Amino acid sequence: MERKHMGMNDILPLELIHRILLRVPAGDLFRLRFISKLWHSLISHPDFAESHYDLNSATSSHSHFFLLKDDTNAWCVQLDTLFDVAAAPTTHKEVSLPSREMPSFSCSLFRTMGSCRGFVLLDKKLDFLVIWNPLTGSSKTISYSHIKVPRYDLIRYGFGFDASRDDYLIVLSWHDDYNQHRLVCFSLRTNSWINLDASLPKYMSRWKYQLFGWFLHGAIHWLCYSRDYIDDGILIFDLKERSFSKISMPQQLVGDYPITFTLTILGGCLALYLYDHDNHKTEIWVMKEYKVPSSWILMYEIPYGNNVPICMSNGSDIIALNYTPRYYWLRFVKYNVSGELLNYSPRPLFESDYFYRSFCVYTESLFPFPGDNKDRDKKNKTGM
Amino acid sequence: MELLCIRQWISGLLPTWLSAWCIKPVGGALVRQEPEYILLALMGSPLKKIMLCSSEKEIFSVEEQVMVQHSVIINNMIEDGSYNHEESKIPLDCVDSKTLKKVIDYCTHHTHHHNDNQEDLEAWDAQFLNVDSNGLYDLLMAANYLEIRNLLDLIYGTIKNMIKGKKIDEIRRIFNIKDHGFTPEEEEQNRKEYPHFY
Repeated sequence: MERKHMGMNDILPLELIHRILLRVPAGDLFRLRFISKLWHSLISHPDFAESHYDLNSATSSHSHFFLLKDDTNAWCVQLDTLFDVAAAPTTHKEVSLPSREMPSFSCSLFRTMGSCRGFVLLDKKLDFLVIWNPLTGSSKTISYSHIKVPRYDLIRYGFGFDASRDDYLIVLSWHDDYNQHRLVCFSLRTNSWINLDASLPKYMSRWKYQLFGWFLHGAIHWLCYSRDYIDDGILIFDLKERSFSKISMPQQLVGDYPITFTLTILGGCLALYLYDHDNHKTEIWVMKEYKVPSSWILMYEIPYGNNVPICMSNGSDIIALNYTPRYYWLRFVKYNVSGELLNYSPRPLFESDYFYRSFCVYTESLFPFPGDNKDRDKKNKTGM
Repeated sequence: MELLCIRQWISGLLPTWLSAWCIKPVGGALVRQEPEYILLALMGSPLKKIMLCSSEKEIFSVEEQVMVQHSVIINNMIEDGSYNHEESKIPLDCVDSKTLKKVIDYCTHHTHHHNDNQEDLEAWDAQFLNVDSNGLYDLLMAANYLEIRNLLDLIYGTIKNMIKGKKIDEIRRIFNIKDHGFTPEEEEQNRKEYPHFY
């Protein structure tokens, strides 16, 4: 075949095409499976999603912002295109939430409970949970209405991935009718509930902690606090060992009750942020070294308005959701370490009401549910 | 005295802690550099040249430092002493003359202009990669063979941008993918299920 009739698939070795595809954003990869059979086999290979995610999850360019609009729709915004004025009209798209066959007993809206490896966890209060990958569309609905909670606001959620068992776990914690602290988790791989009451440390019973945890380094993290401040800190539940541990918060924040600060993850590190009403600024503390309490530093002081930090960009800039009371606008802003405003989104993207709606940040991925690949291989073997 | 002997003599004179301070860029990453090389450079030794031989048996002479900084393969050949400056040339049977000339061009520019500001370098890179897709593939394979990290990343980024956001028919056209390998039934099914991808 003459050179000019040859295409990329004929000229480049497989290894190089594979490496090119690893660098393409996940959003495009879903579509690229249909370019040719070769690309389809490369992208659908069981190890590809993992390699792709590992290569790209560290870069903020793959972060997406997910905001619930109502019971049926949500917005997905690609964070690195937010400040690109040329792309402004198309930066966000509306997606339909996966349809559910289960009847809904409460009329409350969905809430987001965090994300993990491209999956977003949605909760319909005290009714059911939905794990959903907005990119591939695969979703699973899990009912938990069998869990009887005396008060709806006492249940706590956590969502993470257990690499040792290749399993996604949803952890639920609450106090039952006898004021006993309970802990269960749902394993996606075995599609079953596991009782973890035995893992609960004795000292935990009097703690309150935040509504949902954050997944990092194979463990789920919750901010926990109590009236006597003695055991305030960050609670860590290791998904492999199924055991709890604790690390402390910055000294300067201890004693602040009721809690005004919130736990989040920025740039792969645990972070705490709070809004200082008197000085109209947002303080962000970052634990630079994981599990080293002495590495907590006050990294950012962002002025003007209530800013909720969402993710880190370019290694040290912060992208935040800003609610400016003066203009009743809800926009994205970008600040650097010195607190200087670098950029803000071209026009208010959403109505101000949506500031109080549930949102989360996720990284697009092509991961299937655990066990799905096995089914596919089985099908191939039996020639189905 | 041959370079290897000078090296050994100098390294015998220098304290071992000095090597911790000596780093140099190789293939886009920073590696430890033996202090004797730094000393030789400081002493103003003449710029050593090496010979590269393309698949078409054409010989290109290029500064040793330029290639050593960018290509891990060439750097390793020189470090382990398998390359004899007086006699040998490095045969690169996978790379044709046209591509080899471009690769040398890239490495030379980036070595001599590494202090330029980011915008100028990016503009030069964009101009450098203004080639047809066949030329791009040849450059990619050469950069991969010679393990030139920054050129590889540059080309990956360019191809990624050529793919990003485009529909399937257009991508097939750009990369000249004529035979997609799906059966007519499969192709029709895909088009029906996801019309907006095409």
